[in-house]
Amino acid sequence: MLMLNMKKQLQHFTIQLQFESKDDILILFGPSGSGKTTVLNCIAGLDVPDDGLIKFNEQTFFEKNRGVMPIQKRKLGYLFQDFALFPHMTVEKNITYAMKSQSLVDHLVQVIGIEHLLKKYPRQISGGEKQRVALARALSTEPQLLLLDEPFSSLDQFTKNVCYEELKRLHQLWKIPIIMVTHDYEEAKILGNRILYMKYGKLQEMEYLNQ
Amino acid sequence: MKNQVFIFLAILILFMLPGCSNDKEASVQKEKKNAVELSIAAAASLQEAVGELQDAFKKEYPQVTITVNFGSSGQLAQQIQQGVPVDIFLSADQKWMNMLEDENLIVKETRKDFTGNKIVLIGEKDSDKDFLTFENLKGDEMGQIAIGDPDSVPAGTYTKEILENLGKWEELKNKFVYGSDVTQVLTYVESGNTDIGFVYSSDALISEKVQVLAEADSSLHTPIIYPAAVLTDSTTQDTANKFIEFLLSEKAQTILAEYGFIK
Amino acid sequence: MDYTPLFLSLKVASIATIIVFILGTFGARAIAREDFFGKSVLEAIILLPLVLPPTVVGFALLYLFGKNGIFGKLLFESTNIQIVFTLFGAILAAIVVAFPLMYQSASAAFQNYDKNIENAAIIMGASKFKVFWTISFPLAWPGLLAGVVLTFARSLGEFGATLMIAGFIPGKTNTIPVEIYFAVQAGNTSTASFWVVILIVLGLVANIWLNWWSKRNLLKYKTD
Repeated sequence: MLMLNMKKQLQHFTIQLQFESKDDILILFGPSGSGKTTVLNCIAGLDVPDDGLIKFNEQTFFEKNRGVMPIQKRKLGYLFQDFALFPHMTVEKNITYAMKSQSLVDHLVQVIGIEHLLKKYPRQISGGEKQRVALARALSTEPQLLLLDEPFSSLDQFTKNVCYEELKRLHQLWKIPIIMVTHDYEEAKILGNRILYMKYGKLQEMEYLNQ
Repeated sequence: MKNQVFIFLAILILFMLPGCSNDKEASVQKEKKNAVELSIAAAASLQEAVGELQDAFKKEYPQVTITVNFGSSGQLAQQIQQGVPVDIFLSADQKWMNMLEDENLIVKETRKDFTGNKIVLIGEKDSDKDFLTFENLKGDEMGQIAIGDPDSVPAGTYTKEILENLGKWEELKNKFVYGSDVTQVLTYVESGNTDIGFVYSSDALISEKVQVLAEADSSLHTPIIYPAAVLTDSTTQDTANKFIEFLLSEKAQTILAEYGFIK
Repeated sequence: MDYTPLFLSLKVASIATIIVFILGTFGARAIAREDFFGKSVLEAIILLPLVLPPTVVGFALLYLFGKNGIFGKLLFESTNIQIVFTLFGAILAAIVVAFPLMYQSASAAFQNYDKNIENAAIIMGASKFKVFWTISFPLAWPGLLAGVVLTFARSLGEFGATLMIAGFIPGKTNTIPVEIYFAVQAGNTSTASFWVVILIVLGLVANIWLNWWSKRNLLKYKTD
């Protein structure tokens, strides 16, 4: 379970947020610039809050004055907005970069349906294909928590729908907690169990769906 | 747009026209009118002395403005060969003047020997090497030695001659650091980067940070004579000649002696 | 024909290039993407040799590494190595003047790809070491290589600073540019011309090779 309670001063406002999540798909929803990505980055360790406590199960990711757990130890998966695939490696090398087990990777590749892409380079595949490769790569390390930063925003509607189904299916299969950032309301409604509406870094409203 | 370009070019050309007038004509006219510019190429070793010589000359000929270009004699001679416009060449040895004479670049009748120099062995100001002379230099007891490049720096050429005549050239050869001119040699000795160096006696006087350890016996080398001459292409030959005559005058000779030159 | 200048120049340029490559790559990686107090001052100092005339750089080196210089004395007393009037001096001069070029190239190279690519690797659990060797370095490589060639070329052609601190000692420190200078001074136009041609050939070869190599390999690293 992820437990987050953080405060962080940004340029125009201060983020002040608190929530807990077990194995939901939790959506951080709000207009651009509301601090959603910063929250995600603080969970990942790419950024650091000014104050507060972030814990996952028994592990303390961040505690004020008590230190910051190194990113590498947090065992997370992160899907960046532009996928951040390794351009100089094939799809296969991308996915197996830090894999835990070959059998898991083979399984992922099969389930996500990207066997035919394995020998290709990122520049040779489409946006939707990149997204799936990024997903497979993120899951290959058996993360305990999956973070997604507007991963579908660059895709066309048709591909988006396919990806939504995929994500939901994997969530069912793996029972892995997911925290996703988006500014697309439709997307939030389709995917999320819980939607946190954020504005200027603060929680406006919380909505429960698809239970 | 085209019109503007034409007008621009026309104005540009108009500005250039005055500069295009025959230079030779202009300076000869100027000479007659009494405002004269003399450009001199002088060996680097004359640098300190030339300032005072200039002033003395100007007292007698106030209408003359002098500009001086300093360098190693070899460098200057080659620049002249390549057509750099200069009125007078003051060289630190005969070799380079001979080269120009062979190519008819100087006015033969104006060539005069106006001063001379000595080669000295120098060390740092508080050097403990004051027991050294030209004769007792030993290769294996020396650190590095600064010397002007014998192929292009006259002071270096003479030093080589001296050392060869003393039979020491081969022995000392691998200790040498060649400077591109005398100033560099002085710098190396001044900063303590070489133990000793060879320069003209006139050079040693320039720097307060070096001391003369020994003087070379003048029988060991061809006489060090500084020739002066007017260049054939000079447009102010009259005045240039007057300068050379001035150099031979008692006044100029006294100044030169002050700076360590010898006749 | 005495080919010493060729061997000396190649030796100086190669050694200087290797050292500058290592220092420049790691230096740029450490500094270029961070923001810290005094960064612009530090970078200005690094770039100083680009702005100053080589002779001035040479004077500074002579002052610091000469027999009476702070570093020169220290080095000599501890390791018996003399910088001034040796090939070490020539290598030092080449390093100092070429370093800014490598630093600039490396700096640009490390900022030329999406930082998230490195972040993705880190999040997957890769150590800083692994990230550098498998991600940062390969992605920066084309830019780094350009820096290497610039460095090599600059080291080959370095003259002003070299003359001051290494001096002209035929057989020991007469790199090609120094040889050319003194040949011209002495009126040896044929010798000078010969070495000028060699220098041009070396420069052209390095440049052509770089173009060929990067065309072949850049495609592999294309980031889209």
